[in-house]
Amino acid sequence: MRMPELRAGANLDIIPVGRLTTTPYCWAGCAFCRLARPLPKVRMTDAPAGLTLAHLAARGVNLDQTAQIRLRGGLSLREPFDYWIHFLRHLRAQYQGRLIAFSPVEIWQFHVLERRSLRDLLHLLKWAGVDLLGPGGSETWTPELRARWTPHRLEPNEWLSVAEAARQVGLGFSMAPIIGAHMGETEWNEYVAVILQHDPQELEVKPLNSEGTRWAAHDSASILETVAAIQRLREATPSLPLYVCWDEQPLDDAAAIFAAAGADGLLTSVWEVTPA
Amino acid sequence: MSQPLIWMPTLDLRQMPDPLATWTAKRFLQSHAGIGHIVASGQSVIDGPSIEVSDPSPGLHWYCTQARKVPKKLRPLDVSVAVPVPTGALDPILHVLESAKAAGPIRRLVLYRPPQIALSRIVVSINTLLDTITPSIWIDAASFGWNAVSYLIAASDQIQVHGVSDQDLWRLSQIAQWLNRRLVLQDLSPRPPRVLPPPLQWSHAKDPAKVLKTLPVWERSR
Ligand code: SF4
Repeated sequence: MRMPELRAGANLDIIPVGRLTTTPYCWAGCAFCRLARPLPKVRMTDAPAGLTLAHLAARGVNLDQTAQIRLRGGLSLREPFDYWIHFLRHLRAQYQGRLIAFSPVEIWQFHVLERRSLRDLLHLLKWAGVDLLGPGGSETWTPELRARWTPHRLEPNEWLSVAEAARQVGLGFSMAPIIGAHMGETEWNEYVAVILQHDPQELEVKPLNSEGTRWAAHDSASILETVAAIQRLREATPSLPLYVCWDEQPLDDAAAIFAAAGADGLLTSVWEVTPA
Repeated sequence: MSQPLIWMPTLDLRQMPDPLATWTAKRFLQSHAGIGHIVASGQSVIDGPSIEVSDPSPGLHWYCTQARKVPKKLRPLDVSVAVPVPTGALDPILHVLESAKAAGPIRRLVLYRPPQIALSRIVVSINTLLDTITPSIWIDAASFGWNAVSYLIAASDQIQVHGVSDQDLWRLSQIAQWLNRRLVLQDLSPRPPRVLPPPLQWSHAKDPAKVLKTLPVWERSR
């Protein structure tokens, strides 16, 4: 492995992220996901209540401490789409930073359940002040890996149709490979091909953290795998903004190494609010 | 395949009173197939294949951590130097290296990372030491942190890791697997190393349909 040379002072942006979870339940049960708490045989209408603005107030989080807030969630949502639009609109009124909300996975579910067009849903997100769609659902593109990891989630062509509609309404979308031993040459080639063909607004690199998931018997991704992934993506897409999700403190060494490998920023969580 | 990565379990008995030290050393070696390195304070009763002592003694390897004049009658000694990474041409640590060199050949250089020093500066120092003092360097896992350790091992196969505990062996194993290097259990004695087994490899689903049918009940029930 060729390691990038470190340059003194050449660090990347460390971007503090606030994370909001709409609900910690998700029927999709993806193998690598910590949200994938089962909710067997419960009607959507009986699902536990999702996140409210009162949760944020009760936690006393400091919105200004973050450069971006990300809203993501499981699919066992009781609340309709319009609830979340108003939630986001209120959040936007208090927050100047970047707001990244939902991903094609949730949008597709609302599209199916509420029978509203993708464009309508995405227009509303834009109206609420959302800057970008999150990368959820863009982890894998090969059928073998999907079968193993995310068998119940939306199909790749469905994901891409949400992404394409997001581009059309002027709301960008992002993509994020999960880094780990499952990414072989085939998976990488497929991934890079999708990036080049569909041109997301930005890329995130997510090292697999298998702790607390069904994948826990397997290793989490190492920093060396992460560096190799950054190098590979940088080579394939020299100018696309490339961020690394990294929460392990202290950040300094990781930041210096990722900067040398070609990443533009390091996304690190400063707080997280999840309904009980 | 390049140089193997060495796991050298190390037991530091410098602070431990004697009867307990002997007992601990015995257990330590037993639990590592008789292979392991021990650092003790002085002429001691501890028995082991690979021992260093912090007080220079005739016939024993010296574990040098500070500048010290070794009497002529004891020289030459085989020396291991364990010091923080020097961070400049005037760093007093260079004195320690000089005094160690005067006592005999430096067989092993163990480096600790001083707090608050950027990794890029550490890399410069290590490269200088590799060029001038010794062809291989051991870096201390705890003070370097595993991110820096991973980076340095991947950047140069002249680097080995010191002080990897049993609990952290998996980290070393993960790095070795990624770099396609063998991981061996070895100490400073001339006995041959033992090759440690690599971790399990990830494999894809052979038959995706079968995987779907074997999903947990709560997933099938939707
Ligand atoms: S669909 Fe998203 S939230 Fe649900 S289990 Fe999969 S990754 Fe997790």
